[in-house]
Amino acid sequence: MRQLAEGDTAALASLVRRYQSRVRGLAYRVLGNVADADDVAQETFMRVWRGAGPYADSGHFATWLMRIAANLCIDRKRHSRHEVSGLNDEMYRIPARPEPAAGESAEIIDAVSAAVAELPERQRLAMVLHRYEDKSYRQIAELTGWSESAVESLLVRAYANLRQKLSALVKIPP
Amino acid sequence: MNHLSDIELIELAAGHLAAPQSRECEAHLLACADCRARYEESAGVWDQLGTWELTLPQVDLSERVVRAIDESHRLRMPRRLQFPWRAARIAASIAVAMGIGHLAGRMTWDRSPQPVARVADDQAAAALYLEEIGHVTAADLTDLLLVGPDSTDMEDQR
Repeated sequence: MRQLAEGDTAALASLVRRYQSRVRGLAYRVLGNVADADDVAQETFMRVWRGAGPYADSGHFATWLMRIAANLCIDRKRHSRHEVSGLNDEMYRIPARPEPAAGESAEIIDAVSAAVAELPERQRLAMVLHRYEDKSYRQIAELTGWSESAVESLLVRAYANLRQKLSALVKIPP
Repeated sequence: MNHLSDIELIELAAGHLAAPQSRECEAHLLACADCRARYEESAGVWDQLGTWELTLPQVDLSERVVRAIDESHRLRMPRRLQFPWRAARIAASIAVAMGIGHLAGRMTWDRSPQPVARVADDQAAAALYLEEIGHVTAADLTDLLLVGPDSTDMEDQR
């Protein structure tokens, strides 16, 4: 980070290579689109570059990085909602889908990703941070700036919604 | 017996609880069938979500990010350099506007001399309360007094 604060673009490139997969994964799961996820990831690292000074000696880089990415996802979602208001909903919802992971049936992955995509955006972000970024609800509150009680409520509703949606598609204990 | 809250069940399934709290919850689950059923639901959703592993198209964003930063620096530099030119353009616009205003003023300015004597005469006549006898200037009055009415008439005739 110190090298970054001194304007070393090689250090930035190295940092991007180290964290890009994590940032892109978060953005993709929230936004449902590879191109948007890559744009958010790029903007996240550009902001890291601009704000590197104050964080040069901080031990909370990963938290800060994910906070930037999470907030950019929310902004992106908000803007895209305004931009596509006149477009066909079907066109907007078709994501550039990545290949299913080996060993999992495409049907199950489709069901899960569709159920996640249908969550309201704050629930989705909270759930993605919780399930895929391994953040506790207190850490999510710290990351997003939302209150702990708000995150708790978002997570409880998100998992209840998912249980309802997935129970019709995949086998979950009734 | 207090049942476990929804968030406790979710955090337990996620493995986010500290060891003592986790042990307490697990002990409760052994004794409470309701909470055990709720926990199984939470854990089931947790496991199903785990099947969504991403294999995004491989890209290296590092070049793209560095290029975008270089680009933003390049765009920012000329803006600083543009400042004097922008100021010069504004100054030139003001100068041109002033020049046009000046020329327009010169073209429309009435250069005929003000009838200063006439005004002074009128003031003198007013001071003598001569409005009643028509437009008589101080010069006319002088002529009238010194030369007499005939000479004025004669001059008029001439």
